[in-house]
Amino acid sequence: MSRIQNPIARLVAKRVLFSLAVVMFVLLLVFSLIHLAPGSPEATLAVQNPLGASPERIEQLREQYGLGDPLPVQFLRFVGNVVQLDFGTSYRTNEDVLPMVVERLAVTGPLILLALLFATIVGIGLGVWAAYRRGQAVDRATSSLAIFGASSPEFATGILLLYVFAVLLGVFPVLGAGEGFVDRLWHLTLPALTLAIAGVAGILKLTRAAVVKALEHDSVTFGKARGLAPSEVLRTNVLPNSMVGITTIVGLVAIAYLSGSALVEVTFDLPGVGALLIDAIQRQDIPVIQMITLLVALVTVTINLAVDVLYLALDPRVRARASAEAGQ
Amino acid sequence: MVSGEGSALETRDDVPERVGLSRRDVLAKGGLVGAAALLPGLLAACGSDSGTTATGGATGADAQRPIDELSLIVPVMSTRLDGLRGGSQLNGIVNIALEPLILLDEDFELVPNLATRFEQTGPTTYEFEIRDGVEFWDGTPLTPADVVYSVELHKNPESELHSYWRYLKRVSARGTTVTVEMTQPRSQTLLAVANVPILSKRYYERNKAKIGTPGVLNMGTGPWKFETFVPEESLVYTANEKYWGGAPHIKRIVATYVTESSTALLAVRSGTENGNLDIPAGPEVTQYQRLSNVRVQRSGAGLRGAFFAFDTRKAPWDDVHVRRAFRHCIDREAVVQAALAGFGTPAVTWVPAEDMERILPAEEVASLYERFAEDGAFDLERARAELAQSSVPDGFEAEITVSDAEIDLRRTCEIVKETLKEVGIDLTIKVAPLNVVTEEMFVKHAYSLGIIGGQAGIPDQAAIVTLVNDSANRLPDGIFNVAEYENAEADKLIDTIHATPLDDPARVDALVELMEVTNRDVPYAMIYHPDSVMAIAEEYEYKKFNGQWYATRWPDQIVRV
Repeated sequence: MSRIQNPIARLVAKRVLFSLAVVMFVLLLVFSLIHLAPGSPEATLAVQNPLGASPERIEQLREQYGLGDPLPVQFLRFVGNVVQLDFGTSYRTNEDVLPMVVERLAVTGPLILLALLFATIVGIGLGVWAAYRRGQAVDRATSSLAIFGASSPEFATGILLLYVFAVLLGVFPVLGAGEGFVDRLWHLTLPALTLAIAGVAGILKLTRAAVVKALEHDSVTFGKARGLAPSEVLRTNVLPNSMVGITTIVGLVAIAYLSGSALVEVTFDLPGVGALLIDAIQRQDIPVIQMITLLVALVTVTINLAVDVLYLALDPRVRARASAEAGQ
Repeated sequence: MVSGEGSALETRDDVPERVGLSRRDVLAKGGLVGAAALLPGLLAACGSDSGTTATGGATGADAQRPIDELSLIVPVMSTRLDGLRGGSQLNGIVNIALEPLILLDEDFELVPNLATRFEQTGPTTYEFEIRDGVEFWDGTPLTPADVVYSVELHKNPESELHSYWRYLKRVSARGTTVTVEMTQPRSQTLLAVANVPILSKRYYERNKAKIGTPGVLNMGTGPWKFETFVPEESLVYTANEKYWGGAPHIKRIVATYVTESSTALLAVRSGTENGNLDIPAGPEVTQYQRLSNVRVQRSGAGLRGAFFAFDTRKAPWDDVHVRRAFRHCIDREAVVQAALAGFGTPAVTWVPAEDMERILPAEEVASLYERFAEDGAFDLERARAELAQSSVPDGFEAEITVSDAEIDLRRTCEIVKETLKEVGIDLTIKVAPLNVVTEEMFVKHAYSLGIIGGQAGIPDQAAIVTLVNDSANRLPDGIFNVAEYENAEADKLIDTIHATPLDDPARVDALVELMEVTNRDVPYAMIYHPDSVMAIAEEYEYKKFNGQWYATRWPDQIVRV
């Protein structure tokens, strides 16, 4: 670490190491929670079909998956395998866990990105609009609408959208993820809207607050006094000064979507990672739970890292502070 | 004895024809239930008659208008297509592709399929003549060796059909005849054979490590081939145009498991799905009935049931008066209304009357059930009288744990709790995850008082009652006798049922007697039999719909009207 001369690179390296430690801690925590929860994987597997359950079957499963070994041994075995990129096989389906999860990422990934795109465009757009119309009807209306969306359970929002757009109007499908780019986009539109509605409120409120603050800045007053067009002021002064706050909330919303997507996937019957995780938890399919946990942890720390790096890119004051800290 | 002779089990090799095994009037088919959501398999183990159609393996395509694609919501979806998952509704998912030697037709009579002839040749032996000229989907011929291999797979405890095959002594082939030998008489053997998917040994061995996974699938001979598979979510089948029994009338079937019931309803309403094969009895049925574009079909048959289980080893449930008092506190009519929205019937014994009438004349069933109803009637005065004779005349506190996934059972407990209170029994209801309840209930027998709902895996009226009352199924050797009930008289009757061929009237007699014994001792208290319900788009119809659709080749029954 000390050989890294660039202060920015040193900061990033520090954050990467910290993130790896966080991932390990999360893995240990989840592993412990799985085993602390009532019920045992071998019994849960055996009684999926009670007729197939028997004391000998339970014993067979215990031996097959090494579930009789001490927990530290099981955890270290898991970590050792992960280092070799071996994530094991699903207890339930006998599939290799890595391709199983990757395949479902082809649903969950686009879903989250699409939702984030919707939420960001609408949230930032309405937030800026509300800030410019502070205290007016538009401001109150957008805030109320966003809060209403955020307060609605994703399940209820999803069913309502399904009923209106899929059943009554018939413009979107009810079930499934579709095949091919266009078909998938069509299938994911309603689920992504459902997810987006839940995230718009946060982005809108933060954007509004950041823009209101930026609008009060001297540089904006100066720009206006020089006769700059409002759009020019927005582009050169207001948005740059608001971007740190907006980036933060977009990152948080993206992380929230990692877990929020599970409910949406169930509602729209999408074969995504979230739905898989719910099934895996209910059946105590430990390799799948651990793989998805690892994935979510990695994505979360990556988003946080990306947000930190974006701070540096967006705001020279943060860059200067980082350099000063690194030089001490 | 079920034998070739009386049952006209032979057909010509090239023209499959329906040959009933005439079990219907003689057999008491057993079968019980499954504990709730997870027990759907449990009951599947015992089985009996109710059946589907299927003309001896042929799909009857000639007589039916072709259907390009049928998209249905199904109640379960397999985790793997390895041929080892079954013993329940999963059979209906897998075995329309990986077909068995013999089939249950629409009337639940056994008919030839990949076997042109089947016969019970001795108390423990069965013979099957393998059809000539049948090919797997990859064009390789079906051989007796494939059949032997397919049956032997279930000797492994990993098989969910293992409970049927734990008594398998040997399966062997000589020429085109396959002989199955059991270590002791097991009257459900033929029903078990009708559950065993026949697989290509060569394909299975070559892909053994990953057999049944999405990239590998499996190789069978059935009228529908696997096309794509997403474990626990969906399975797409395409017609096997070279099927030995003639190309099936449905060219493509899309079976989808939908977790969320509201989404399933919208999918059927919008026409995205052509139907829902198994709608839980309850308020949801009413929602389907309101749809203008679907027909809702109901059946009282299907060997479904719900019951309380008392641990007969533990106080106060070790006292028969306590158990009888509890039984008198169950207001079954109210429970059927509240828990099932009226889509069910109060249960007085193990087998729904409609199923029982398949093996016993209706008037005898009526008389028998009337007596059972009287013995277990909802009557708080009689409950108090029983309690007064018990070890806890002043009442007691009890606890029951229900799964969060079984809303009908939870509602049942809430209603019964109120009536129990009136006689001095204070019931506490706890809720836990399904896997926890199942493990505590079946694997550990940890609950003094439990509630179980489910369905027999195979169409045998004796299935459930034998499974949960057999002392051999107590811990540590078995798991299904959660009441830990032990009664030599009951065990003897169960042995008789297992040893008596399906078509022997003595088997029905033993079953009735076993019902009498358990009605007297009350190790379990019956609650209700939920209706079996399905919904299908108006342009289609499921002929002879029965709750045990999965024991038959059900797509044969779906026609365009």
